[in-house]
Amino acid sequence: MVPPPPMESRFYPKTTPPSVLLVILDIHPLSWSLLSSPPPLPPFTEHPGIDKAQATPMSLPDFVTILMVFLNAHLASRWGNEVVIYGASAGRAKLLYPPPPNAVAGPSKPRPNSYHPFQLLDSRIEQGLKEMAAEEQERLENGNVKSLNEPPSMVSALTKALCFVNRIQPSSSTAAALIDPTSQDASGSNSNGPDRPETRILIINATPGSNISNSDQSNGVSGENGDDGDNNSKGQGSKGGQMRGGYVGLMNCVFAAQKAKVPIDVLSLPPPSIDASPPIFLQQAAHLTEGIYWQWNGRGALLQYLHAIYLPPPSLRHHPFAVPPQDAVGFRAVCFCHHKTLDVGFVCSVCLSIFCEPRSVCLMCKTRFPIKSIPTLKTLATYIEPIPVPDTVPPPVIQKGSKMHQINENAKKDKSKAVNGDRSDPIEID
Amino acid sequence: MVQPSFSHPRSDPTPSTSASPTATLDTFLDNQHQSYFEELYRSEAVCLCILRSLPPVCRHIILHHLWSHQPLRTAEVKSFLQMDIKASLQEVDEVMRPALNRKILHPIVHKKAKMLYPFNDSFKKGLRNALTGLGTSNSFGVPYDREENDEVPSQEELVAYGEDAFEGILKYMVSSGLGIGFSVARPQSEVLELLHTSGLMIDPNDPTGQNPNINRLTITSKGFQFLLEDRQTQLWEILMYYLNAKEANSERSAEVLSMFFSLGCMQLGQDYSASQSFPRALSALNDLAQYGFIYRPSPDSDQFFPTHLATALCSGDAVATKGQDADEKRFLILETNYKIYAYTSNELEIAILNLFVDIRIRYPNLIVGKLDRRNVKSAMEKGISASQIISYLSSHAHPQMYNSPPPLLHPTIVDQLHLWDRERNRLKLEDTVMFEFFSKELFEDTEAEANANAALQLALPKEKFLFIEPQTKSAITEFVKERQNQLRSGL
Repeated sequence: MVPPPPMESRFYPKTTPPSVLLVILDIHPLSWSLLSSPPPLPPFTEHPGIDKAQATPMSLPDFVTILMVFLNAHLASRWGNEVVIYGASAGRAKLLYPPPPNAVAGPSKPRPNSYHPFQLLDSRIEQGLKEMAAEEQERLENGNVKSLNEPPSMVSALTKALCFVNRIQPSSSTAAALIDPTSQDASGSNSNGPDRPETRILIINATPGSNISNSDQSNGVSGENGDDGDNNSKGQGSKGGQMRGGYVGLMNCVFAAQKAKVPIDVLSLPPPSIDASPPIFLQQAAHLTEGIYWQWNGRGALLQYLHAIYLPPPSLRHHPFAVPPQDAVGFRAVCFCHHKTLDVGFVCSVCLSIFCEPRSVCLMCKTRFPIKSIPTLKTLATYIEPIPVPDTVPPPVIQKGSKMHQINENAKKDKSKAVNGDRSDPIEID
Repeated sequence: MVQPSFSHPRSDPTPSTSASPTATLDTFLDNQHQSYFEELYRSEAVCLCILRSLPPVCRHIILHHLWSHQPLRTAEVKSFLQMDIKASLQEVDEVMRPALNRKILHPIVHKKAKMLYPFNDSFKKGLRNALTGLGTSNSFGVPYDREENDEVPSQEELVAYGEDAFEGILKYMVSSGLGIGFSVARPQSEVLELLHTSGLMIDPNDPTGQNPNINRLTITSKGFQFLLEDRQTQLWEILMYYLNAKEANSERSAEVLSMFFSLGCMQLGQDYSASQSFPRALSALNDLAQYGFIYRPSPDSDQFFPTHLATALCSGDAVATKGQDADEKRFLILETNYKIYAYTSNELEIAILNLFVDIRIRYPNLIVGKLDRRNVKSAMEKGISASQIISYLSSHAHPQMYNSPPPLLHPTIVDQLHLWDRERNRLKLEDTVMFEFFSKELFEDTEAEANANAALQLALPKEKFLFIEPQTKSAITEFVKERQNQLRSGL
């Protein structure tokens, strides 16, 4: 009855390093109003069990309650785990937790039935969200109604999150320790000991990709991207508008995260009935950083999905734990000139900027290209078939009835939707 | 000659620190019955701490399944762990073993051709309540209603108080063994009794151990080993001795154990009400005050402050717990020439170092000494093993030591310590009786006889010497005489 235990213990890690979870929560009011009154779901005949579940309206307070429980579970799963939360609203992002060091410490009195760290976290999130909502209200009352149409500034939040990661995890820990071994107490001792905390970012996206497009953009997140100097395109089509600077900024963040080995997990809340096409740039972010991308099916059970998919720390993912099969990712890019999502683009061979049509002078680096080559390029481009999004990874053999199976079903469903869905629409990133 | 087979320092640098500090607790829990756990899991704090004590894989499977209404299917565990679907149930059982032992899951049930682990309902409910904060058992401690202008000790004061109280006990133990007189207050008699019953200290004048004079206790080899453990392990060992003593008096220990966990979830610097938090374990709480786990402003007030000893109990790993005092614990620099520099002025640490280090120079904040054979071996005489010294040295290594390439302690020193340990075991002293024979026949017969009775220790046929267990001396002498007579009469 006793199988050889050394085999088992060698297989599974005995301990994991403490893990820091950075959550970026999209709290864009328009997206949430959409989520709280979802259209009815199409019947899902493949799986009667899933089909029985109705479309669940999900309001922000409900979701925050669920998120709090999930974050508590993250804190509970290991001593030393930490949580950082950024709220991303229309055009701005803000740190919600942990509170800045000079802020008033949370509730004065612990409650007898809740673990104090949980209580601190929960009350601080609540307080932070309320503050942020009040600020939005003020902005609206000041007549700045247009600002509501800005997309949630994921890039800003992501940049802040990466800065946070960099702060707790200096790139060369030994050098830091040599300079001053005593300067950091907790994090310093961790960085030169065996227990460097592992970090991951969870983006909770509530904004649908293409169907809801904002009207005139007002260049929400252009601050990051200095070289995006093409002001002429400001009046371009309303759909491309919100990509201004956002695409390059997002991709820069993604590559930074990739280099820092910080996985970016993405939970996309708008169910397929609202949002036929997935937010492909977030999907790319998850793919490039080896994070997990998953789209909610709109049928409740979010608490369980969060625990099942996003709770295991990166050191336990892939081995020994399974991750949900990832959808095929569309690796389309956005052109720098008109901010259109492209299937076929033209890349400057010097600065690697992407354009939707061949140009004699690169807009970014001003490199001149021979005018003669332009017609050739154009004819060549017509030969290129738009590459179809590859079929999803072959569905792994999973026996009936397990939860992974169910997730897989959803993934398949999403994919088929995505493939059938309106491909030609430019997909906007939030 | 047999090659020494100690573990390679690279593969296993700290053999004993890798053992969990709650090892004593784990063995205690693993031997409890279902009903015991049912009683424990009424407290949300216990559920939380028990969850954290599970190995990570098991822990995440539990969390994965926590919000489901269904029992946990073995097939689900297999697919989550990417096991082969045909993998045997034993393998799944092996992964879930810790949860099964803690009675979080019930053993496998077969139901409609499915293998299920039913969840323990009280655990599930407790953990859910812990995460949502909806419990009703007050297990995270009821804050004390204090007056606005009451004086509140700062966190530093609480840490200092707890540290003083616990180190006082340790110092008393060391000083009893070394005879060095630093002024130590004698711990209270209940503490001494516990130290005696746990076998950490004995009264040398009382061989039976029945009625010791607790004023004359000296430290045992177990006690020396205890001193070298890290703080977390020491605390849990003491608590488990306490718990076992309670059990031996046939008192209910579940309440007390659940109080330990509750204390572990409390907040340093916050005051709690004793009578509301632990209505059924008040006397145990009073006992804990003697070890410095809690601080009471006045002996009979309802208000108490947990110290860092208590709040760090459930932290699971020793590194993260200490926080600011982790740096204080890292003071040792060990050179390859066996020299030790210890940047400390802590009397207790110096006394412990003195056990196996030849201290040469002592400055107010620095001790310089040398690991040498004589001192290390005298420490080993006291029952301290080489791996304990090694783990002590590595857990107290100065941050600067981490800057040199691993391993942390140089292999030369690690190997040498192991060699000294081996050396001690090379000679074994045994009492013996020697027989010298002049006749070869008589020698051979006696050897055969002694062999048959397992009394033979050594036979040297050339010199015709036999070495016999002392207690069989008379029997062998009888035999020899008889045999001699037979041989003579045979002639």
